[in-house]
Amino acid sequence: MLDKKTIEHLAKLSNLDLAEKQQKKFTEQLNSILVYFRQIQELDLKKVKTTDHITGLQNNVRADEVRQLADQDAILNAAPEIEKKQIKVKPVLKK
Amino acid sequence: MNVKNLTIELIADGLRNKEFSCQELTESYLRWIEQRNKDINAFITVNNEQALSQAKKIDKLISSGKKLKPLAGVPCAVKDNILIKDVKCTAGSKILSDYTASYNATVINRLQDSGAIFLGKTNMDEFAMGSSGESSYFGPTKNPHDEDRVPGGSSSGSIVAIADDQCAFALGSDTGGSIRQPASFCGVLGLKPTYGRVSRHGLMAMASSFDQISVGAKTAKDCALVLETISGKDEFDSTSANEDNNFTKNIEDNIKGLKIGLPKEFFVKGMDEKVQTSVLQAINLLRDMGAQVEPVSLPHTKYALSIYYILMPAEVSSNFARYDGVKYGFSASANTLQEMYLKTRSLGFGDEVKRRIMLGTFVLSAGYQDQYYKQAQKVRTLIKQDFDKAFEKVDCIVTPTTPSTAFKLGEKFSDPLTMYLADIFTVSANVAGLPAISIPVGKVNNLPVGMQLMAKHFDESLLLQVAHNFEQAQD
Repeated sequence: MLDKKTIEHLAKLSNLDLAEKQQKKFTEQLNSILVYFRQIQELDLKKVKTTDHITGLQNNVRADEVRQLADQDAILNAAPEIEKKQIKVKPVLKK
Repeated sequence: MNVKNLTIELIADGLRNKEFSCQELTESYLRWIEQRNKDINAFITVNNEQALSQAKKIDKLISSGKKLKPLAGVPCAVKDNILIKDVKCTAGSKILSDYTASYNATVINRLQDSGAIFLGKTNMDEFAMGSSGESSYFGPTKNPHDEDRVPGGSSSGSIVAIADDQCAFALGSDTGGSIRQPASFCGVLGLKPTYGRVSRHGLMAMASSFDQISVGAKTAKDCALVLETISGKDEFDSTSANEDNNFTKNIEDNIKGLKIGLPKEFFVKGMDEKVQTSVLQAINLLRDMGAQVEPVSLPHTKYALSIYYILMPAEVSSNFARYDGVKYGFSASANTLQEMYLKTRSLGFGDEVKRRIMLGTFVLSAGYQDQYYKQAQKVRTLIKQDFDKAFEKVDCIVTPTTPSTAFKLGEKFSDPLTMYLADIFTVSANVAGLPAISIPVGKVNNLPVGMQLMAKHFDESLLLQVAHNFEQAQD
């Protein structure tokens, strides 16, 4: 079952900042969902293969040619901060 | 003009016979939408200018005498997780409340080429996560049959727009039942295509191995026309299939000798008895038309909802990493990059989105992946095999679409698990990638009831054929 420490860890991995009250509510709700998952444990799945993809299609590729397909301005204009046709972000590397 | 009870066929005839102009038609829909939206809230964005200018072009085409494509001049609504270039696209979320789409979804290009008119973008559960229409950042959508009740979700606005005559047809999406369940609650036809039938390029991804853009319509023939227009292989979607896309050719064939499977696992204790009776009566009607009904068993479908809530959140947790305040959408001001990520996502996402991201992160995390995610993928194989086996005996499978009729606003909202159970009959089709349709079959206490049919991969023609025959028998 999920405890406070696990929820904090998951929130960190998910890049979510949860308030104390929300953490508690989520812990309860997620735990009740996990109980529901227990029913799968009744199955013997040792010899069963996983289904990664439902269609069975593989390596559906296109020719490696350069084409201008996107409206560059429309894409850049969606960004919160741009500078000289580049998307500006906070520093990634710590000094 | 009165837009009540208009279908694609009636509109196409009316335009061709010059009973009304496309501009008059479009204006009338827009006026009706404006009247209804404050009460019903089906639309997030209404495209007044764009729609009327599209309508003008169609009128020019009509007066030129050129042959019209089947959807030319037909006004439709589009779920707000499908991109229309230069139109706001919010996914019902605060995090995209000011995002303007930078390209057209492939299905939009195809509808545009056919001359369809886009009336606007419809309301939905935030990021398609919901079964009631209550979790949108833009407020809940109401069921036009009873405004104290939910329309279902997540394609709430799209389905309601059809039910309330605010458009002739609509596009939605279906990952676990999101077109079929609201269709059942609102008395509309809703079809989820086979996985791979319709390109997902331009559909905001939720769970990539389950998502399909879906069609809401008033009649089977209308649905078939839309599906023909939007289906087909797309070089921008490597999961799209190359299959024959003719759904109108055999739609009027009778269903004598059709073998229908009735799975006992879908007629269970705990579901509304009146809904069950209503669906069984509809099945009797199919029998009267010459279909043979026989029992089948899909023993592993009882695990479908569990594995869906393991696999889908896992895919969500991966897909939603993109909402980070960097490239588009809401971006919180912060001192560091990490703080910006945290604040953006915490302020921008609603509760259900956060819950599913956390759940997905959990089932994929070290130490738990084998126990949950891998096991769920194995059960997915077993469920697919159940259907393959059943389809050796029968041509299609029939079930109720939902365990009850539309519930009241607020009734299930505080308990996620109860809300998830609303999809118990619909998720199997997404798990197995099968095409599935919800057909309106009647009412219980004045609330619509839907019957669900599932068929083999790429056999949408059969679903539409049965739906059409059923419709004709009703009239």
